[in-house]
Amino acid sequence: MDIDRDFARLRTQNVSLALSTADLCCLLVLRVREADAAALLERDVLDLLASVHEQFPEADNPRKRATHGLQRLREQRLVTLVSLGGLAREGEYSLSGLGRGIVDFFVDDAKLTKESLKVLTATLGAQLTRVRDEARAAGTPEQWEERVVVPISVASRSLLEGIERRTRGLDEDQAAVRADIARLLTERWLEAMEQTQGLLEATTARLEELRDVILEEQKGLEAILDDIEGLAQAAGAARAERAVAELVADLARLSGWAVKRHDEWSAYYQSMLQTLRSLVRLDPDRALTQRLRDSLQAWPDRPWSLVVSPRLRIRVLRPVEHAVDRPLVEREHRAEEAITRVAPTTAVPLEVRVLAAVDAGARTLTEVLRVVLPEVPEEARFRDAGRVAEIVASKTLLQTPLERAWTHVRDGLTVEEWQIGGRR
Amino acid sequence: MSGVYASLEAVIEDRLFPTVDVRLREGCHLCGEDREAFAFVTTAYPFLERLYERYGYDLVRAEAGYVFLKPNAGVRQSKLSAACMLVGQALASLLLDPAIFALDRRVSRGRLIDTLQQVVGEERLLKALKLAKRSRNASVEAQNLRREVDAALRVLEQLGFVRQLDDSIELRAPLYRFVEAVKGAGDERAALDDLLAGGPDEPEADEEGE
Repeated sequence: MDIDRDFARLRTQNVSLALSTADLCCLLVLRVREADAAALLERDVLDLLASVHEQFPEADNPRKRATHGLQRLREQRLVTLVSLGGLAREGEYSLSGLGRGIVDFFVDDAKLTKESLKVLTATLGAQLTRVRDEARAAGTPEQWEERVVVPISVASRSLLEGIERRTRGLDEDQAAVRADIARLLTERWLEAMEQTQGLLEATTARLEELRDVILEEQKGLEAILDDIEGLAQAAGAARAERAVAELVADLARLSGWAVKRHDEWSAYYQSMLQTLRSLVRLDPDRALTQRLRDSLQAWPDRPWSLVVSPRLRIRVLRPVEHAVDRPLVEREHRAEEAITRVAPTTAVPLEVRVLAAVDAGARTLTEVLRVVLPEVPEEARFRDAGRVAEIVASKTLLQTPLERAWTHVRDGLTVEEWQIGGRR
Repeated sequence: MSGVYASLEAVIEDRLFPTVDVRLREGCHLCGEDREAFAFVTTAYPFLERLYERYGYDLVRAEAGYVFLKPNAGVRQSKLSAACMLVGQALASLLLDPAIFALDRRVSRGRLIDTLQQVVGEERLLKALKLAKRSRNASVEAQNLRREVDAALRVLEQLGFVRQLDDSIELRAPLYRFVEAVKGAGDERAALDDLLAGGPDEPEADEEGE
């Protein structure tokens, strides 16, 4: 940074900043609305600024003050004209980096304070009051749509959503406070007691304020919304009625949040204080913690146990039931194969027939079987085929190659082929 | 539940009696979080104390805000297993940490296992839980340790010492029983000697969590 050059530039350009509280509140409201739209129409900006100026006692002509206020913010480069518009179209404005920085400096975006909440709810109230005036004057469905439904659905709901966004920031704050308390107590626990109590009390007070503001403002806002709903009913403007009902539900949700958070934190506060006091009384110098750790370190060499009542086993007496005769479970036996006894072949000994066949020129086992088996009774053929093979093996000279083929003899009988060289 | 009981009969007639009686006899510890049951026991304490005395049990009402049935010598009783004792003591030491209170008296399983490993030592811990020789693989060992700790937590939950939530463990007042056991004596060794001499060990005692 060249300080001489920058100093000269600021002096030459005659740069200055002059902001009233009303101007700061205007910036805050614009910052809230900016979250929903990148740029705002001139008419919306003036509406918003007028509703802010209405909340200041010296506001005799809020509309005029809003026009001058916007001019002032533009001259100080806090608000920028991003679109010039034209004869048929309005100009569009957005906050400059400087404007955003100033708002964020004074009102942390994540935090909801009593003051910022009051500004936001009062702005919402002023907007709804103007909508009510418009509703009284509206005659046609188009007028209801343009002057009532759109402002409620867009402008008012976005302001309310801005408040809800900040309530979420507040939830994060609470978690941070708990973490801070944990850190403080870990570092210097006895010395941190006072600070812990301070943190707990500060958060409780803040939640109490917010709850009170929300509940108080809710009544006023609901009264205006009731008026608008009544006018809409009388005019048969269903969309306006629905828009009002939705806003009322949002308001109820917001107040429910405020009450719930306050109650939860109060319970936490009470329990925390009680516990800390008990701990200070029970283990001020952390000796018990050390003894527990020593006891743990003594395991498994010096074990000990707590005694508890044994598990209860209640015997439930049931009505007597006669035992049911159950059939014995057993595997089903397979039917045994029927064995057919075959009478021995005795008329002519089998060996004589086999050797006769060999002598007659049969040179393979198949040829022998084809000669012998037809002379044997049908039921004995299978058995006698084996006996023939046995006789051939023992009474003839076999010339059996390494690879022996299987040959079909007759129906149901296939044998390994043997070459027969003659009798032994 | 009626406000003040005129007789034992009135206590037994209360709709809460069967549930509370069964829970106490099962070894469960009741505390403020058990709202109705705890309020019932504290209101009917004089009658219940005499009732259980006849069965050989002491109905202990601890200063830290919990009640439980303690079997007298000669009555069947259970001892907490080594795993339950280790986990219980580690949780009790965390309960005495004021920072845990700021976080709603909740600790993660990871923090519990870290505490056990830091205080007892990894090797001694595995030895105490009889896990030392089961595996040489570090990841399997860690898995076995988590399983043992989970089993111990289940038993401690049944006994009312803790409440298991999805991602954390809520520490309850009965954990002070582990603290009470080491409290009073000047040094830890003497306290343990007292405990051992006091002799909760009964040969026929069951062991919880095995």
